Order: sequence, then structure tokens, then C-alpha cells
Amino acid sequence: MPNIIEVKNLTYAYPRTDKPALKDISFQVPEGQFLAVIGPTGAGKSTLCYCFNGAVPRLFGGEMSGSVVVAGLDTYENEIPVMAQHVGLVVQNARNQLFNVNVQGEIAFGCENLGMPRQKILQNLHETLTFVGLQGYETRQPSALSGGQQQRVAIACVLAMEPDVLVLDEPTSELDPMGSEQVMDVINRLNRGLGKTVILVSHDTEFIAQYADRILVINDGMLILDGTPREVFSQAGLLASNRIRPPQVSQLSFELRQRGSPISDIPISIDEAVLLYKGLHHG
Amino acid sequence: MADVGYVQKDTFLHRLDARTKLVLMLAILLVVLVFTNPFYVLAILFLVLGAWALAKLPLNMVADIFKYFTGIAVIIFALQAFFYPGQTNLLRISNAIPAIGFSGYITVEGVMYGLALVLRLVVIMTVAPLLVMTTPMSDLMLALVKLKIPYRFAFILTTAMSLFPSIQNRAELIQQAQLCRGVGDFESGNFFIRLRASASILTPLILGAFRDSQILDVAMSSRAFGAPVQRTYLLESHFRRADYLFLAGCLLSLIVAIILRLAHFGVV
Repeated sequence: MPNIIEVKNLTYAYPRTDKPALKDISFQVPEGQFLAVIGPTGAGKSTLCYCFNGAVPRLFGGEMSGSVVVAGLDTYENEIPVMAQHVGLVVQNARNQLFNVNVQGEIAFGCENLGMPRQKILQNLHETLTFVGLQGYETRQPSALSGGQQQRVAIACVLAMEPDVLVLDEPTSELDPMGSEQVMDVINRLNRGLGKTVILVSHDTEFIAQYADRILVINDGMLILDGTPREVFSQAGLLASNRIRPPQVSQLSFELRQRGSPISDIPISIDEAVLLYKGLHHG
Repeated sequence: MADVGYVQKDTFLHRLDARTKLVLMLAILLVVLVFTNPFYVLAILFLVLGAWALAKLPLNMVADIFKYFTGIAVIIFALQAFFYPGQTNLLRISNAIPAIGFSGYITVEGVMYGLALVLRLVVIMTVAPLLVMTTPMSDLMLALVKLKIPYRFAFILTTAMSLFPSIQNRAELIQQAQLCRGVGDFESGNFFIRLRASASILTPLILGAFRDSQILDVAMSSRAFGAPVQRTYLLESHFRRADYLFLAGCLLSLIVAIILRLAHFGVV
């Protein structure tokens, strides 16, 4: 698979600060990958999200060096609306990114800006609403929806613009378990079903362990670790020192290993843990 | 974000194209500015209130408008009554005070002109809801765009209008939060204490609005707002026969009004 995203030596500082929010970050993302970004609060995860469509540095100002290239387009040379055709960004607070009077207008907004023909907009509206499970919500007022529904509308809004990459910044941080699950299901299907490249910032390590292809661990603006969920979540010490909570089953297994249980491979999902403990029990 | 003030009903006025309603509004405004005779303006006011009833809009809102406006109306009326340079003396108040331009008399013309001015303002205030309350914000924006107003401007105008309720909500939330912390006496009879209390709402409100506006900026750009292509529109608006008839009626009324005015009707 060719790389759809190439980040090279990215360093960025917000205006009126001396301390960079991102420090010399480099990585590539192959097309169709499900990449999770984890790290403690204030690590620079949101800032990294803003880099993919050029909101950093275009809207925020500040000093940026290095380069971010998405779908062959350098964010330095292309305006955000141009990047938006390739990168769909869902920002952290769903309420603030919905500003139209109804769901239909909300989803059509991006398509209209891109100059899609009316028939195409209608088709995308129907398809994306069905995809996020909100058929029949066309005339509802976004601010009157539940948090999870708002988040799914926000995803539908960028999906309707047919981007190659979707960047989602903590889409479930303010949701109840039910709402979270529905949003995470949509995100999983974006990747598995539609083959979109997904970049997900989240604290939900259980979900990430199960569905992500790869994890970037970021702390203090630096890329600390880059690997598969298995590689990342077996580094208990490193995760603890970066204030990241691994999946509960992994954490439990560490604790047991430290107390003398003969566990060699740390499980990252409940299924794996069940197998492991069955073995321990019988052996 | 909400559809501010929109009252969803299925009436003749609701079905009219937003452009027609814009023209209607402008026509009414022009006509009331043309006449200075309060009886003519009053007739137009009744026409507007008739339209309110036709559109099934809440008439008690008119009462609210009157309530808030009474104080200002009295001042405006008094100023005209006292200082309008009329010929027919109605009531002697005092000797002439040339220093402030007071003739010493309240004149018939002054009273009439004052009444007309107040009624004009009432018409202006009651005609705007007639458009806003019968037209979804998205239709209004489309109408502006079709009237060749730049999209960016139309968007800012309609979005700013629809932001009002959410700002109001936030202000109420902040007030409650501040009360919980024992900050601010919002009910105090003392004006200065209330002023201090309102500062405890305004500061977080304004700072929050700034932060939100930056996120809104990111969200809008991320959805290709301002892309260098010809924008398309999902909503469509079509002129129906009723629109053409209505526009013709507006135009005709406007012409009649101007002819009447030129023939010195409706003037004090």
C-alpha cells in the first residue's frame, strides 16, 4: 500500500509560547490503515489532528517546521478547503462543529462548498445518514440531538465530502457508554467497511486494542512509541510513565505477572485473556 | 444553533418565496416612510397585523413589543409634539423659549407628526418578524444569495442570527454557575451591585465565545467553507404564481402610494 500521509520532522509551537506543542515528529500512514493516537491530556494529540488539513498553522498561526503531506498535497502549499477534499477532520467538541439549522443542511454544507451537483449531494446525504444510522433525522435540529447522535452527524458531515482520510479527535470523550459504542461502531465500519484511512485520537484503549492496526504514543509533543497494539500495550512500564492506561485485561495480567503468575504474552483483548487464564487454570 | 424565531405553520405567508417576503417587507417600509399622516400609517399597521393573523403568528408578541416600546415611544412623541415647527396651535404651555427652539405651543402638526413617527417605528418593528418568523433561516440565506448578496455575507448574517439563542443559553448557565459559587447578586435593587454581578457573567461569556469562534473557524474550514469553486445549493427556491401575483400587488401598491403622496395625500 502506498503512503497516504507523510509527516516529516514536524515541529510546531503555538503563537506566544516558547515551548513547542509538537517536537520533531515523523511517521507515514499507508492507505487504509486504522491508526490510533494515544497520550495523556496536553500531549499534543489535538494539535497533531489540526496539522493534517493545515488548520495548524493556517488558522492558529505560530511557528511550524517540517512537512505534512496528505494524498500528495503539502499542507503548506494548499488551503484548508482544498485539503478538506482529502482529509475529513472531526474536532473534539461536537456541539461547536454543528452550526446549521438542521441535520440535512449540516451534512449538505461541506458538499455545497465543494460545488457538488445537487443530485450527488442528495445521494451522499442519504448514504451517509444511513451509514451512521440516523435515517429520518434530516429535519432535526443538531443542537437538540444527544451527544452520540451529534458526534455521528459530525462524522456524516465529513464523510459526505468523500475524503480519503478521516481524522477524529476524541469523538467519545463526552459520551455515555451507549453513545460511545455506537460512535465507535461507525468508526470501525469507516475503516473496515469503506476502506477509509482512519486516524483516531482516543483514551478508549479497549477499543483501540481490538480494532486499530497501529498506535502512536505521544507525550509532551514527542512521538514516544510507534507499533501495533500488541507491541504498545505490552510495554507496561513505558505506558505507566507516560500516564496511559492500557486495556484493563492487559493491566490485570501485568499485575499478576509481577506477583509471580507465569504469563509470558500479555493479552490485549478479553478473548485472549480468557484463553490465557483458562490455560493457567488447567495447567 | 437554532432556527431563531421561526414559527412552523402552513399558511399562505409561510409558503411564499423568501424573496417575495423580502420585497414585501421593503415595500411596506417604503410606504410608511412616504406618508406622514398618522392615519395612513395606522392603516398600514393594521395591514401588517392582519398579516400576522394570516400567518398565525402569536399576537401576544405584538403586545410584548408594545410593552418594551412604550417608554421610548412617549419620549419620541413628546419631542415631536413640543418641537415640531407647526402652524396650528393646539395648547399653550408657556412663553416661547427660543434658546431650545420651543414656540410655547403644542401644535396640531407636531402631535400628528409625533404620532406618525411612533406608528412608523411600530410598523418597522412588527414587519421584521413577519419575514423572520415565517421563513426558515436556510431559506432566508438562499433568498439573499439569489438576490446576488455574496454567499459569505449571507452566511455570516444568518449564522450570527442563529447564534443568539445559544449565547443566551450559555449566559443563563454561567449565571447559575456563578450563583452556585455565591458570586453575584443578580436580583439586587442596587444598580451598581447588579452591574458588578453582570461582569461575572460577561467575562466568561466573552472569553468562551472567542474560544468557540476559533473551533467554529476550524470546523467550517474543515468543511471546505470558502473553497475556490462555484458553490452549489441543496435547497431550491422557485417562484410560484402566488409569488408573481404578490410581487405585482406590492409594486402596484407602491406606485399608488407614491402617486397619492405626490398628490399631497397622507401628508400633515
